[in-house]
Amino acid sequence: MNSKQELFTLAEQGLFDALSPEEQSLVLQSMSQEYFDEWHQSIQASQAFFKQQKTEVDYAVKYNLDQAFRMKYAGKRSPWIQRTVPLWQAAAACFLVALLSWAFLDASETEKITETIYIYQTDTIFQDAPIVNESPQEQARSMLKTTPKNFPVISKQKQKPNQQAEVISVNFELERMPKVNDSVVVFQNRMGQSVKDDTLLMNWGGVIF
Amino acid sequence: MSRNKYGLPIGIFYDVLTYVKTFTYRMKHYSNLSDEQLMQFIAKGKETAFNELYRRYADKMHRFFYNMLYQDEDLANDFTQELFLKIINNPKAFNPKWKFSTWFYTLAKNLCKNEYRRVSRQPQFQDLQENSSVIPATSQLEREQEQQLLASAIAQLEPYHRECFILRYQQGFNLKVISEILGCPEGTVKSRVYYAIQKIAEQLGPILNDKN
Repeated sequence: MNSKQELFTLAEQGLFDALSPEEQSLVLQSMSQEYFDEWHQSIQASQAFFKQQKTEVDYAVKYNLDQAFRMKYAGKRSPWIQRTVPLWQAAAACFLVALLSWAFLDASETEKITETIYIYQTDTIFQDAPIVNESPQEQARSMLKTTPKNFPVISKQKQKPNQQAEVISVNFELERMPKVNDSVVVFQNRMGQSVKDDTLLMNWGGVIF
Repeated sequence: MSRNKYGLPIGIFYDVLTYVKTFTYRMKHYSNLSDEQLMQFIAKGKETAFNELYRRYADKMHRFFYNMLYQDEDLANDFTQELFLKIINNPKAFNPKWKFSTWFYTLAKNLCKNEYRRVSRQPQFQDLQENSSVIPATSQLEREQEQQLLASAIAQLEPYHRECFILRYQQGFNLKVISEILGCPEGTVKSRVYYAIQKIAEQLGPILNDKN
C-alpha cells in the first residue's frame, strides 16, 4: 500500500475486522474504524445499486441503427468492382477488345470464302512397278483392276531374287480442269454441259466472280 | 514427416483443411470473434458482425450513459445511438492494434464530456435529498430511500470523479484500464476514486449509521 489514496482497495475487500493487523494499523493512520466501515458499506451499496438497475436500450435505437447501417452499406459493391483503374489501362483495354473483335470477324469472313471454292487439278503420277513374267501392258492392266477407278496407287509386290526389276512409268491422265485464280473461277469448255452451267451469266461472259 | 502417394506431406493438407473449417465456422458464428475482429468485419459492411457487437455492448453503454448523464433514460438512449452511429459511419477510425473496449469507452466518455460542456445542468436530486428524511422508515421504503440517495450522491459527483467511480464499480474495470480510457495516470484515477467514495460515504453515512 503506497498511499492513503489506495485505502479504497482495502475497503472493497471487507470490513475493518476482516483486515490483517498490518492493514488495520495502516487504515487507522488515515481514518477511524467506523469511517472505514462506512466506506466499505458505501461501496457495497453502490455495487448493489448498479447491479439492480434494469435499464435497457430502447428498441427504436436498434431499429435506427439498422437503418443507418443498411443505408451506408447497401450500395457497397465488392472491392474489385469498386477499384479505380488508371485512364491508360482503360484505353488499352478498349483498344485490345477492338483489335481482338476485328481479328475474329476477319477470320470468320475468310473462312466463309474458302469454303465455297473447289479446286480441281491435273497431275501426273509416276509409279514404280516390278516386272514379273507378264508384259508391262498386262501388268498395268492387272494393277488397274485392283485400284479404285481413276485413282492409281503404288502397289508393292514381292520380288523374287532371280527376277530383275525394271522401273517403268505409267501415266494416268485425270480429268482436265481449269486453273483457279483466287476467287475467280474460269470455266473453259464447260459451257452448256449442264443445266446449272447453262445460265444467262455463263452465256454472257463465261466468268463467275 | 508422413507423406501421401504424391510425395506431399499429409500434415499440410490437414492444416489447410483445419484452417478452412475454422474460417468457415467463424464466418458463420461471429459470437466467437473478438471485438477487434468484429470491427474489421463491420468495416467490410457485415451487418451480422455489427449486430453481435451491439449485443455485447448496447446495454453496458446504455447503463454507463444512464449513470453518467443524470440518470436520464432518454438521454442515455440518444447517446447510445450516437455512439454506435460513430462505429457505423467511420469504422476505420478504430485501429486494430488497440483494445476495442478501451477505445469504445473513450468515445463514450468524450460524448459525455461534450454533453457536460454543452449543458451545464444542475443536479436533479437536490430536492430529493432534502426531502428524504420525511419518508417513513419501513424496510422497503428505507431501501428505496437509500437507492435514491445513492443516485443523488452519484449525480452530484464532479464529472471526472463520477466517470472514475462508474467505470470502477459499475463497469468493473481495473485501475489500469480506467487510466487508459481516461488518458490519465493511474495515480490520478486512484485519487479520483478515493474522493468519489469519500463524498458518497459522507452522504450515505447517516442512513448507514441508522441501519447499524
